[in-house]
Amino acid sequence: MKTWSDFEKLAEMARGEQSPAVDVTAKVVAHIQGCVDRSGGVAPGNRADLNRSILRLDADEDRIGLLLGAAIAVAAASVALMLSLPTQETLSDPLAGWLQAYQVVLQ
Amino acid sequence: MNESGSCELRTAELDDADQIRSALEGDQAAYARLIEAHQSAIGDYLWRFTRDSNVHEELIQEVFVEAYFSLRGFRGEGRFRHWLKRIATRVGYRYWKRRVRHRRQVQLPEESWTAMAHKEETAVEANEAGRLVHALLEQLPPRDRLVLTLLYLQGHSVTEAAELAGWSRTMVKVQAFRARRKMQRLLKGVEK
Repeated sequence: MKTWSDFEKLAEMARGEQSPAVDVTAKVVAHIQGCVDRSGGVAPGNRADLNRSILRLDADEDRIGLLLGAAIAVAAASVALMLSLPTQETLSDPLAGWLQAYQVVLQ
Repeated sequence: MNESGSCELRTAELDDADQIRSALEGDQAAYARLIEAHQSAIGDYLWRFTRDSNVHEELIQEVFVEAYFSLRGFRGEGRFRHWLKRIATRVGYRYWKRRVRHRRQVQLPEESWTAMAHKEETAVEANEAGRLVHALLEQLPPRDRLVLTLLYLQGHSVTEAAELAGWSRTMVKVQAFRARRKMQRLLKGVEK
């Protein structure tokens, strides 16, 4: 039977696990050197914004979704507008009708 | 921690500070020494984010490249390794977000789960336990997965997890509560 306490115990056991040994030193240094060469002398900078929480990382991606949704909505509204234009020509203006009746009353 | 352990830690921190100073002056050999000193710990940390050895290596590289171009932002207030782990948390989390569409349901064999949960810890069993826990966590959305990974798999306290994720302590507790509930549902579901 799988229970939460089993999960906790397995997670605790897994803490003792060691990852495969990897040496990335040469690759990282070569990558940095490549960036330095391409940009003509980039020094260590202040790029990472560690004050940005994981939630804000999510928010950035949510914003892309929001923009995409807005674009789809605008496109749909444009199509609806184009389809309704011919119909509008045959419609009478309700305000004009009301003003006409008002003028008759005034006269 | 005993006195000699504390002295070793202090010496390592001073050594890091020297290497960082040299790296900031453009000494890439000093930065290479920093990588050599910390890549094993960062590798262990990132192994909780992926068990694909190629991706694992790429993520470690990404952490050290990002750290280099952010080195001026390290104010030396905490330990350099902790600062690297904060970068690693973001790198790992971004990887999970990219992979979110590939999330899959995994059936864990009942026997291996029960057997593992009642065994004593050895190196081989730690690997097997890691594989099982990873397979379960993989089925959760990234935010739930992150909080459970930090608290249960990495064994961090709420305060440490908050610092690594850039959340408030309350946020960690709320997120952990939700994630635990989802995991419990998942465990029940797998059982059926």
